[in-house]
Amino acid sequence: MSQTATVGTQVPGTFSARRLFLSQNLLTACIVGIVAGVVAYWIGAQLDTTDNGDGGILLGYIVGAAGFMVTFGFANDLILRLRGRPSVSIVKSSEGRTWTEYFSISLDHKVVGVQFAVGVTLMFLLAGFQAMMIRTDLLFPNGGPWPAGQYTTLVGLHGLMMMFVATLILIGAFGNYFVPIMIGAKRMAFPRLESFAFWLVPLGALILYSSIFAGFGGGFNTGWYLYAPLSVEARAGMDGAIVGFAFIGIAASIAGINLLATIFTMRAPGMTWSRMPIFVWSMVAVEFLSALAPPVLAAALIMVGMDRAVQSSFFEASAGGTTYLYEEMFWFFGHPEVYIFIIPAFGIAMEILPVFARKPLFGYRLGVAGMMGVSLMSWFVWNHHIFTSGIAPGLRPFFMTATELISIPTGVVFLCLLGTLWRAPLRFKLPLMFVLALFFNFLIGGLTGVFLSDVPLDTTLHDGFFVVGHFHYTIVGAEIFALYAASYFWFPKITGKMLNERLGKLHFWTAFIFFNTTFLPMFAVGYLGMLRRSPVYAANLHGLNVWISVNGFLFGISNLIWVINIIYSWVFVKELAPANPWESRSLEWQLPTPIPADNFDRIPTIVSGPYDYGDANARPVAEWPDSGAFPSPFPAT
Amino acid sequence: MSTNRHLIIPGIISAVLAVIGDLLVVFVLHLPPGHATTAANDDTFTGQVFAIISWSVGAAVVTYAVYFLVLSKRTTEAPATQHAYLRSHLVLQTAWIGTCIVLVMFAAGLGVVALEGQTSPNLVVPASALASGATHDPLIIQVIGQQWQFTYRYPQYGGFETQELRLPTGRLIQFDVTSLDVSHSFSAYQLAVKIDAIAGVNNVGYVYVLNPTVIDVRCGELCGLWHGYMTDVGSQAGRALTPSQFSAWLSYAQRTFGPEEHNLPKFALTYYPTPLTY
Repeated sequence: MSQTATVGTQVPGTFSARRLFLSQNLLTACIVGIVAGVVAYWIGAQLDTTDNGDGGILLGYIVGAAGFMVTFGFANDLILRLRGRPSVSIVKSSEGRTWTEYFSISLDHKVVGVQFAVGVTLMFLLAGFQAMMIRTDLLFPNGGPWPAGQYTTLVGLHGLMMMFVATLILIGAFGNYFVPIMIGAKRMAFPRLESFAFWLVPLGALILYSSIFAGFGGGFNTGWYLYAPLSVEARAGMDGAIVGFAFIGIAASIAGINLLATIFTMRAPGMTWSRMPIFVWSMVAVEFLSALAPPVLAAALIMVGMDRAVQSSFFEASAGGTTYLYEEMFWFFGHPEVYIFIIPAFGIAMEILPVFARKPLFGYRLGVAGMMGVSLMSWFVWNHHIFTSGIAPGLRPFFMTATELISIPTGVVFLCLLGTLWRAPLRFKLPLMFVLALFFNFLIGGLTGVFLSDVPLDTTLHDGFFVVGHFHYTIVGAEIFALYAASYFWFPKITGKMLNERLGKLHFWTAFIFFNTTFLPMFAVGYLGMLRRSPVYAANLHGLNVWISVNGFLFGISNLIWVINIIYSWVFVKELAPANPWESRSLEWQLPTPIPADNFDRIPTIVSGPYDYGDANARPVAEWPDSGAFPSPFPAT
Repeated sequence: MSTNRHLIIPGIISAVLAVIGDLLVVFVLHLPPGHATTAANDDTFTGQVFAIISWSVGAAVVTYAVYFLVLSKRTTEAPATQHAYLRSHLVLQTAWIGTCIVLVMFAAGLGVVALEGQTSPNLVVPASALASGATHDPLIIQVIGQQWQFTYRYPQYGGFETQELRLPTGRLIQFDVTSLDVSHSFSAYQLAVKIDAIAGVNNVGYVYVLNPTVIDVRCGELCGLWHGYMTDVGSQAGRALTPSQFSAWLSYAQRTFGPEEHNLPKFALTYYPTPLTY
């Protein structure tokens, strides 16, 4: 007899303390996780051969997380099958969904998408607040209000948390939510894994932040790279960074496998590769990186943990280890990681562009080839992060050339932009405005990357603020602006309400202007010799740094405007948005809002690509089976 | 006809913008790090070339995009009946990719040429240093990084150790960089030198100084609590001196720091802390 999934659900309207504390829910999972973690910490501390307790802390984090996950219910199906019982059906209930589902294991990819969106955005705000603290310190050339130890911890926390955010925000929120719908599927290939990937995220973030408490060592001083041997020798706060980072890497890897399996095996009939939305193609391109690169990071972090806890000597030179092993492994992950950030941003930009250009995307196949080319080539460039480390001289020309060659597939998206804009009857709505800003920012970010790819020039620029400007232009200027664009674009479909237009325009102009006025001068201060991660700098750069800090605060405020817009529009606005306010041809816009739990009552047959705007004779994207319950598809033009 | 016009006009505008910007880069901008060493010369020249390319490409893309945006304002939203909207254009795509390849290979070639000049598998002598007529008899300065200061040893002059970096112009300098603990990076801005200091490793780098200069030394790899303060700047900055000034300093240094040499570990290319025992 099959059982329906009841994990985490309660009968609405009744409260029972007995049911609360005896069922599998978030509260009991937290309680068991904490208790298991404390017990494991005590056991680990007894077994630890060193005198700094790392073994206990690491074991405590890992066992605590495992206890949380098992109690929450992720092992239920495994245990049932081990006992020879039938597995839990993954048919979801389509009625009576309450807010509690967002705090439980949900097998609905749309719920998981919202969980990712809200959770990761909270992390973005926290890490952004740390950025404000960093810039406060940099108002003063001889050291600011934070002691030196706190400054390095701030830098590391900001960097690492933003890495978490950048890895997961587009894939986790929009990939999980929209990919199954865009390909005409009812669900993801592995719904439980998807939920598991999400719940690793608050665990990872909490574990990371626990590292700042005094009992855990008061932070970590290695920056987000966690370079050995400093990370091996650092105080106990390093353990939280190691475990948190590893969890996020595992989450990204799981999301990658899940999306790949879904896209390859669950496309609706007629959804050929050439009819697939380009956002879905971007997911294909990114998931090869997301699935394969983080395990290398996890391996490197496990090795650091072992060096710390049990005195293995992977990275300790005096015991036969080498720093280069860590650097090479880290950056072998680290470079595909940054393409995990940017490829979904390209996908979102090229997805939104034709909707507001009201003409087909120019160079669809070229754009796909570009993203796949970037994905492939990103595996061959990682040493450009460590040109000055003393790597074998023969490696440097190869990686320099490969890095410069990767700008070719990256550049084709600009041809797609220009070709789509050519003679387009543009609708200047907010999503389009953010996409245009994204391309402007990425142009600067991409071109400055070429400076850094040149080995001799990198000698001057490496580890300086030129690098900081470059990656903020690419990650914030392109990826976060893609997040803004996607939020304005898809908010009506997710919530049924439009984001406020006036607040949105205020957000756009403040974000675009203050982002550029903050990060453009960083190229100058970097070129003039200001190095990263230092609270002190040359006195002649004081004026520029004050300018950067003040504009940085204003950019931070612009993010608050965005969040206020989201909260206001979602909670306080009563007026509902139309089902397809942008007149998009894509499948998700042909469904009612809110989208039913199963997405489609019956899978449609895809008969056309989604970008045939401006063609009066274009066929609709899909032919719907005669069910009578679905609305007819929106007109093609 | 109008298609050509709408492609040519932004082309002309971007060419004009490119020329103006490129002239500013060459004659006004004075890109760092300057001309104190042959490496710094290389960096300055490369930076100018890349700035010219970047500005030209960026100006062209932005000009075309803005022009098309302005053009779009005059375009009404009406379904195409005479012809379908353009979805691809083989010649345009080929030309775009071809231009990118040319620019990229030029940039890569420039970088490889600057890197060329290996005299043996383990040593990398910048071509510019060799070309300037430097001898193969370098002045060896060992740079030792430790939490949180740099010190400098001169093995050819008794192996004395000092916190003052002094080196002569007109002679090939060989930096042997190592660390006593975690990873640091010896960054000498005016020399255009950045070499990581890694425990157990001797990283070798060369420079040929052309002009006397102040040398701001900073640690370029996060190394812990006082990383930001691991600097030799201001009154403690290093200096590139004329040969006669350097000789005078050498005499002073051997007198002042030489007697302490017997208290130091014997000179070696790398130093370990006391090996761990269990």
